Amino acid sequence: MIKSCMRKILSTVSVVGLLCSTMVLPQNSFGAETQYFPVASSRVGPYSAMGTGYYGAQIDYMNYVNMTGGVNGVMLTWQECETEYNAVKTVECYQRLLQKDGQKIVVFDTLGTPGAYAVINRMATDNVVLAQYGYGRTDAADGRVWPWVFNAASHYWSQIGVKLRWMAEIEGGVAKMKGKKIVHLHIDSAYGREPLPAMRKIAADWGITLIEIAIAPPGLEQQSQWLQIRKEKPDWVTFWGAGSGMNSTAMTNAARINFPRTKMMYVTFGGAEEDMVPAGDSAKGTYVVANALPGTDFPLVKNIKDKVYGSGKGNLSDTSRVGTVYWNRGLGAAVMWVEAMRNAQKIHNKVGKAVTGAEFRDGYEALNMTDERLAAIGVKGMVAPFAISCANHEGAGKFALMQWDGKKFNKVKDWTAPNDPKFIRQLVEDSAAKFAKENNITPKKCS
Amino acid sequence: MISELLFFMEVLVAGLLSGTMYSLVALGFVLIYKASSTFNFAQGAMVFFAVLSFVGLMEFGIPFSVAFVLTIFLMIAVGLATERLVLRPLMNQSEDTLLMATIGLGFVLEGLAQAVWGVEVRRLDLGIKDSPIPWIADNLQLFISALDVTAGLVATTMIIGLTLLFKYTKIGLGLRSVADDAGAASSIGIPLKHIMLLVWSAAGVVALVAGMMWGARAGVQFALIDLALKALPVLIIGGFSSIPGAIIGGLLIGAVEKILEVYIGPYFGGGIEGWAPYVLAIFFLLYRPEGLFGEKIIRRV
Amino acid sequence: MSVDSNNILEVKNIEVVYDNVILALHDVSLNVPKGKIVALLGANGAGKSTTLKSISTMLASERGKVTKGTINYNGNNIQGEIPSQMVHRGMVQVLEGRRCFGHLTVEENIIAGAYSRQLSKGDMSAELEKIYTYFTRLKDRRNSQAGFTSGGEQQMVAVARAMMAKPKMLLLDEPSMGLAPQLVAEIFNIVKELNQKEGVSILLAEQNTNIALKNADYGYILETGRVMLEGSAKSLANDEKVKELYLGISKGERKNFRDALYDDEKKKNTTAPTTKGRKFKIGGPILEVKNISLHFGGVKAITNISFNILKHEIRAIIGPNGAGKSSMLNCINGIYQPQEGTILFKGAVLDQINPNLISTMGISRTFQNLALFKRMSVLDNILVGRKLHTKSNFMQVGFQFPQTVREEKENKEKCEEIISFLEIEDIKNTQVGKLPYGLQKKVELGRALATQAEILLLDEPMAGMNVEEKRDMCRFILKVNDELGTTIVLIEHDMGVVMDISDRVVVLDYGKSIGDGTPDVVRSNPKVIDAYLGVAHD
Repeated sequence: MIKSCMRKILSTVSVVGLLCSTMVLPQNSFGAETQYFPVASSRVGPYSAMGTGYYGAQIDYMNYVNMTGGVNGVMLTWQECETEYNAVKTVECYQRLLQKDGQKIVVFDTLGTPGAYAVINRMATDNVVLAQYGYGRTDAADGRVWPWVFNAASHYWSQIGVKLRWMAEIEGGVAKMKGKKIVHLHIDSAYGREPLPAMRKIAADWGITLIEIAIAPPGLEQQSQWLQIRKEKPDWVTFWGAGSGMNSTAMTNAARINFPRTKMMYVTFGGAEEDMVPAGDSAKGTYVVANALPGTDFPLVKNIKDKVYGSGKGNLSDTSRVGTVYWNRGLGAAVMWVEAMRNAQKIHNKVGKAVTGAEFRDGYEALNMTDERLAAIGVKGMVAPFAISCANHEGAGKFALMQWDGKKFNKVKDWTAPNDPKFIRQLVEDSAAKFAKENNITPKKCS
Repeated sequence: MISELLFFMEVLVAGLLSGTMYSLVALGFVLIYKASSTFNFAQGAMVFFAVLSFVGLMEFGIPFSVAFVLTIFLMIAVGLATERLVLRPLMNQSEDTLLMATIGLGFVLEGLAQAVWGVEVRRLDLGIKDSPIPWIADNLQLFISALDVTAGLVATTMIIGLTLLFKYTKIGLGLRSVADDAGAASSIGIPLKHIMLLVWSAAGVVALVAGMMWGARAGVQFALIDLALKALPVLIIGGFSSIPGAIIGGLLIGAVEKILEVYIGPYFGGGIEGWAPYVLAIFFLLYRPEGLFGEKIIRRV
Repeated sequence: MSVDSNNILEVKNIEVVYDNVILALHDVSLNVPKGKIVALLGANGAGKSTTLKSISTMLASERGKVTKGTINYNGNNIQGEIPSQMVHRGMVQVLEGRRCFGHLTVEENIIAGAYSRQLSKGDMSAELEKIYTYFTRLKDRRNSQAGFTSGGEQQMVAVARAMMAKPKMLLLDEPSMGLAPQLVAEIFNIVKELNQKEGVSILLAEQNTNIALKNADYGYILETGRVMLEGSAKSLANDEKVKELYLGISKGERKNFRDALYDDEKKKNTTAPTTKGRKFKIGGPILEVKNISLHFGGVKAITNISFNILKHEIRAIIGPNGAGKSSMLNCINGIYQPQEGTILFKGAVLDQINPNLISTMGISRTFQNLALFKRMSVLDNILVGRKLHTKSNFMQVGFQFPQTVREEKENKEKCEEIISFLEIEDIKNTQVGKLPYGLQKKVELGRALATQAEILLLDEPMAGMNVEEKRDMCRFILKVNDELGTTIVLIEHDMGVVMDISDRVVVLDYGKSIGDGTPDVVRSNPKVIDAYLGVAHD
C-alpha cells in the first residue's frame, strides 16, 4: 500500500520536475545598475516554433544591448518561465517573474491572446505595462480606458481591415467586392473570433457574404471544414489559426480540394516559415500578413548575428532561424522595450538608472518610431513607422503583405492601413467605452 | 439534389479515410491494453518520438529505408527500457499505478524527443501526394487524397497482420493468455517479460507507422501527441482490447464527426468535431461499456 | 533430513515473508517422493498456498520472499529461478480458483499449456488427443469460451493446461473448492489417473481433508505456517485429532450441529442455559414461490418451481452445480424478474421490484463470493447494513440534527449488539480485507443481520471453510434463528450441514424441483440420490 502510494507520488514529482527543468536559470550581472525583464516564453508544446523564435530574439537583443553598453549604461537582466502557451501557466509565470532581487518587472509580454486576457486586469494595480505586440485585447488600443495596456504597433481589427483592402485591390476595387463570398476559417477560441466584430461590419458595408467556420485545436484534421469550403466555393479564405499543425494542415487540405492558395490570406500568427515548410508544395502562393517583415539584411539583424552569435551567446541553436518571421517579430518587440526604457530615463531624469513601472509606461506612451529613428536602431523597413499617444495605444495600424514562394516569403505589398482607419478606431473606442461603463472605469483625460 | 448526394458521399468518404488514420493511432493502445489492461498514456508521445527520430535520422542524410529500420530498432530499445525500468519494478501493482507510470513515461519521451531533435516542425515527404487522385476526381467528381488511400491500405494491412498474429501464432496465444490472467500465464511457463517487451516494441512500431502517416500530412510536430486524445473515443467505441474494433471505431468516429461537423456544426458555430466524438463515446459507455468489439466482461452469477 | 534421490521435491525449514513484514510461513519442511501424491492439509490461512507458491517460485510476483530454508527440486536448489524456468524444468502449478483464460476457447487454453515446449503441429494434436482421453468432458466443449464453461470444467481446463507442459511434478491448489461432490470425485479420479499413468508426482493443497486423504499417499497438516502433523494418508485418516478437527468425526456418535450447540451452551453456562430450543415457533408461510420460470435467451435456468418458506424456519435449497439455486435466490431478492409465475411475500406479490426495495421490505442476503467493503472496518461494514434504517436525509445528516445524532447512536448500539452476538468484539475495528475468510463470512452475516431482515438469504455461507469454521458458522445460523426468530433460506453444498440444521429442504436439478420435505424425507428420495450420486453433470 504505502509502497504503491510512494510510487505514485514519485512519478508525479518526476513529472513536475521535468516541467520545471525547462525553466532557464536567471542571468545576472553584478555591480552595474540593472533593469529586469520577464521572458514568459513558450518553448515546448504545440506552439513552440513561435515561442522559440520570438522569445529567442528578445534574449538575443537584450544580450546585444548589454554587449554594446546597455541602455545608457544600465545593464539588462532577465528571467525565463515556461508557459506552454497556456493561460493558467501564464498567470503562474507572471507571479513567479513579478519580482527578482528586489526589482519588479516593468513590462509583460505573453505572446498569446488567452494569456493576455488572463493577466490584463492586474496591470494597473501592479504598475506593469502589458505589451501585446499585434495580439491580445483589441479595444486596449484606447489608452484612456487601458492606460497600462498597449497593442503597438497594429491590432487585429486593423489587420482584418487591411486584409479586406488588399482583397479589394486584387479584385479591382471595393465596388467589385459586392456579392463576393469570404470564408473566415478560424481556430475555435477567443483569438480566432477576435477580428469578427470589425470583419462583420465591413463585410456588411461592402456587400460581402461572410461565412465563419471554426476548427477545433490542434487542427490536424480539417477535412470537414474544407469540404464545407468546397461546397461554398468562396472567393477568398481569411485564415486565423494558431500552431503550426493547424496552419500547415489548412494549406494541405486546400490543396486536396484544389482551392487556390493565392486566394488564402493568413493571419500574422498563422504564417511563418515554420508553418509553411511542413505543408511543402501545398504552401506555394499563400498570402501572409506581417507586422514585422522577415529578412537578415536589416543592419540590426546583421549586427546581432555578428556580435551575439559570433561570440557564441546566441539563444537559438539553429542560426538560420535568425531573421525569420517570428525571430524578427520578437526583435521588434524587444526594440520597443528598450526604446521605451530610454524614453522613460529621459522623461524622468533617470538617464543611467533603472526605471519604475510607471516611468516605463510613460516612456512607452512616448514611443515615436519615425523612419529616422528606426534607421538609427537598424530596423528601417522591418516594421512600420509609428507613434503612440495617450489615447492611441496602437500606433501604426499598418501591415505588409507577403507571399510564400515555396522557399521564402516575398513582400508583395508595403505597409498599408485599412481603407477607413477612422472607422476601425471608432469601433475600438465604442468597445472600450462599453467596457469602461460596465466596469465603472472613468476614462483618463488625454489633453 | 444529385450534387447534394455527391457532397454527402464525399463527406462520408473523407470521414472514413481520416478514420483509418485514427485507427492507426488507436491500434498502438489496443496492443498494450491487451497485454496489461492499461491505457498507455504514453502512446501519443511514442508516436511523436518515433516519427521525430525517423525524420531526424533522415536529416543526417541516412536513406529512407535505413532510417526506417533504425527507428524500428530504436522503438524496440524504448520497449526494452520500458519493460526493464518501468514495468518490471511495478509488477503486480494496481492498474492505476501503471497508468500513472505511463503518464510519466509520456513526459519523458516527449521531453527526450524535443531535447534531442529540437522543436522545429519538420516536413516528411513519403513520396505520396496529399492531393486528389486525378482519375477519381475527373470521373467520379470525388476528391480522394492519395495519401489517405495509402493510409487506409496501411492500416488495413497492419490490422489484418496483427489479427492473424494474435489468432494463429504461438506468440499471439501467449499474448492473449497474459491479457486474460497474467498470473495463470506465468504459472504455465509463459515468460511475462518477453511478452511485455514484444507488445511494447510492437506498439512502438505501430506508433512509428501512425506517426509517418500523420507526419506526412500535417508535418512532424508536437501536436501529434494530442492525437492520443482522438484515439480515446475510438477505443471506447471499438473496445479497448479489440484490433478490429480499433478500425471500426476509427471509421465510425471519422465518418460521424465529419457528418456532424458539416451538417450540424454551423448551428453550433462550428468546431464540434472536437467534442462530438466524446459525446458519442459517453453514449457507448452508458449502453455498451465494452465497446462494439470489446471482449465481453465475463461474469458468472 | 538428508538428500534422498527418491524424493523429487525436498522443502527444508522454509520461512516466507510477504511485503517484508508479514510472516506467512514459520517453518515448513516436506518431501514429495517421485511418483507419489502428497497432500498438504489445513484451514484457510494455514499457509498451504504460500508453500506451493514458494516451490513454484510464483511467490516473487506477489511480493513474497523465502527468507530461510531451502527448496530442492530434482536434486537442485531452486533459488533464483523464475516461474517460466521452473516450467521448463518440469514443475507446473495449478493455481487456486480455477484460473483459466476466460476469453480463450477451452482448446486454446490447453494449447497455451504447451507454450514452453516446441511442438510440431502433428505432435501438438497428438498431445491434445492424449489430454482429451483423460478429460473427455472437455473434448465436447473444446470450442467454447472457457469463461462460459462451468466451474468444474474450468478446474479441468486448468489441470489439463498444466498437463500440456508435460510436468514431472504438479502442484495442485484447492482443486475441490466450491465444486459439487460428484465433480470433486471426478476431478480427483483424473488426478489419480494422471499420477498412475503419466507418473506425475503431485503435491496437493486441499481443505477437503476427506477426499485428499482418500487419494494421497502421504499427508502434511499445516497450521499457522507450521507443519503440525505428518504421516501416511492412512495413518492421518485414522488419527483421532484429525478425525475430530478435519473430518468432523468424533469418537462417539457424530452429533448434529443443533445438538452440539446445546452441548456447548451447557458447558459454558451450566446453571442457566440461555437457549433451550427455539424461542419462536414455526408459523405459516411467509414467502411463497408459485410456478416460477426463468430463462436467459434460450437457456432455461428455472422451470416451473413452486415451494414455500414458513416463518421462523430454516429452509435449505440444494442441488448440484448449475441446478439453478443461485438463480432462485436472485429471483427472490429481485435481481432477476422471472418470466412466469409469482412470488408472494407475506401474501403480497413481489413484482417489478428491485433489490433495494426488497431489502427495505425485510429480505436480506449474503453472497457466494464475499461482497464486503474490504477497506472498511468490521463495525463500519455492519453499520452499512443499518443505513436502511436511517430515517434522516442527507441534509439532516450533514447538519447533525438532534434526531440524526440520536439515530446514529442507536445504530451504533445496535451494531455493537450484533457484534457481541456474533462474538467478534475483538476484531470490530480491524479492516475486513485483513481478516481470514471464515471471519469475513461472519461479518457478512452480521451486515445482513443489521438490516433487521425477517428473511435472510444465505448463498453458500460455508463455501471454502474447514470443518471447524463450518461448525462455528452453523452455530451462529442456528443462534440467529433460535434467538432472533429470523427465517433463513440457505444454499449449501455440504450435505451434512444442510441435513443437520435445516427444517425443510428443497432439491433442485436442471432448474426443476425434484424433492421437497424434511431432511429425512429428502435423504431417502431416490431422485435426489440419483442427482447427487448418479451421472454427474454441471
